[in-house]
Amino acid sequence: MLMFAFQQTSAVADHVPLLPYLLIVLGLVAALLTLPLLLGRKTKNAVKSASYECGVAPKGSARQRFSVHFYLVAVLFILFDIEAVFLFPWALNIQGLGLAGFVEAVVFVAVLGLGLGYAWRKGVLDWQ
Amino acid sequence: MFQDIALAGPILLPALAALLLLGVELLAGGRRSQGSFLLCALGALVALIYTGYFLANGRTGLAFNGTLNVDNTALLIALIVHFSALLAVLLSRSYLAARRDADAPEYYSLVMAAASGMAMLAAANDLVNVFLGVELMSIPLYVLAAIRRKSARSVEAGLKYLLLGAFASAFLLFGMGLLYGASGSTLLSALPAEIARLETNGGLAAFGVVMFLIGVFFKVAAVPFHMWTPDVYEGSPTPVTAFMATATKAAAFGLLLRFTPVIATGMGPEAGSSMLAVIAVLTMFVGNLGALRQQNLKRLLAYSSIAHAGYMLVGVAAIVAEDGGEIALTGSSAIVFYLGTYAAMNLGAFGVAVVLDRGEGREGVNELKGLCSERPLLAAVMAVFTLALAGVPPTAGFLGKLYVFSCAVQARMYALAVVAVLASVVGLFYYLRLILLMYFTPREEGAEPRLLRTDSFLAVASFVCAVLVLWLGVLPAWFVDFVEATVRG
Repeated sequence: MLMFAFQQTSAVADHVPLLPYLLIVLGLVAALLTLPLLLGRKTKNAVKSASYECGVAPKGSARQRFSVHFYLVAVLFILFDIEAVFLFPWALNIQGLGLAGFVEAVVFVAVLGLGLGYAWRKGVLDWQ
Repeated sequence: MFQDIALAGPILLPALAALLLLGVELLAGGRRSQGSFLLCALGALVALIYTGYFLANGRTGLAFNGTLNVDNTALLIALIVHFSALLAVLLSRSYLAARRDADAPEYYSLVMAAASGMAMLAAANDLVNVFLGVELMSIPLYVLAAIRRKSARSVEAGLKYLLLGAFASAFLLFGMGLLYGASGSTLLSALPAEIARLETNGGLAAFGVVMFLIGVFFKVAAVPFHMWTPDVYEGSPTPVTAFMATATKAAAFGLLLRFTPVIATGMGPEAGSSMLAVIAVLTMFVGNLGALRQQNLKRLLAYSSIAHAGYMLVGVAAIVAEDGGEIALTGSSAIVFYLGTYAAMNLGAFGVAVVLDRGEGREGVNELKGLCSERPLLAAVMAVFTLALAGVPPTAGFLGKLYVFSCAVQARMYALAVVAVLASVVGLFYYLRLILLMYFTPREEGAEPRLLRTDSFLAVASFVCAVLVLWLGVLPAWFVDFVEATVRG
């Protein structure tokens, strides 16, 4: 228990050098925000107060509808991305995991395959 | 390996049914059929029988390196979950027949997937499995709440449930992270000892426990995390509401019971039980007072379910106060008994709500007016469920309350027991109002006669519920002994 308490205090001590850093960051942010207010010249016209002073002027409402397909494809991407994440460690240890590990991975892929088939059948993969 | 899979049967069987249902839908390709209803009911029935078989033969144990603890409490909770799933599926048939817009092909598959997650939550002995169970339970329920895509109320219910549920999951995860930090273990059964050993981190563990509990309180709809309940219960399809109200509560309380030693060591028995007692009192009063003014039957039952969560939390507070010993066993069996009887009476009441609804969204309390003269049997069955929810003696609802409240007395929390009894007296008002409407209020002059159709599956489901509620109320000894004996293991 003593050991643990010691570790804790040393962990706090390790972070003390961060304190000046934190102060410098806060000071810099405060300076960058206040100096332009005090020193800068203020011009106000229509171009200056547009959303993007030096870009393409925004057109139309931001609340546009867009196809739910983007969302579905993103979900499918995440699913198969995570499948890959799971399969890499399995593939590296395949000899140690043996037949049981193989069957488990096959079941895992089969369940995902069923889901993919379902999504396919429902037209998630057709892009109109 | 095979031993593990057999022990995980109550979790795997509904999952298998869910996959089969998806596969059937894949092959049938959009044609509506009775097939998926029958397959789903069969899946729930097989899971129920399997769980019952394991329970009767005492086949329990740890599975998958101790990450699942399939003990008797877990099996009892799984039994309640599968019972709820089966009855909710039986109610679904007539509801979906009347409301084509809810009849999505995924409906039954999602019910089974949620049941699998709930059974997992009851048996989870590892923080990772707890999270897996919570998500496997919640995500299908979010979709089921919003399954009537053309109905603004249903979509609102789904969205509210999703956003607040995801928020609650974040709290749960944060709590798990802190608990892991405080103990260095993710095994629920190892947490108390590890937290006690590394007691320099006491504050961290207490904070983790509170965060974890916030996530669980959201799932059981305890005040102040109950805001979503009335809207979600009202907007969801009625059988889904019934399933949510009964099975989700059972699963989440199963987790809570397994978590009580961690609360007692993480926060200390006094602090933990006082916090739970305050939450329980708030939940009982907000639920019962909120229900008084409701004109919508589903909203009324939603507030009633909040109040019932409060009654059960009284038992959890008592268990935490004593931290182990005799009360852990009597308290657990009292709560499991309460969950079982609550499932029967609530599913029955929602079944009557499905009949009254007639696919036209007639959810007002006034639909009950004069039911006695038109459909005496339906009115009688509803009266049984209402009295049971109120906790009136010849029904199982009374005994459930009695056991839970007597746990508080055992733990010498007399004030809490008195307040709980007072809260259930408040509850009497709105339950009796329903009976008053059915038996003593005639319908308006010139109201067209009602064509209430009772699907035979729904009739069987309601009948089973009514018989269970009365049987467990009049002759509870066998069930109480069974629950006590199995919880003791």
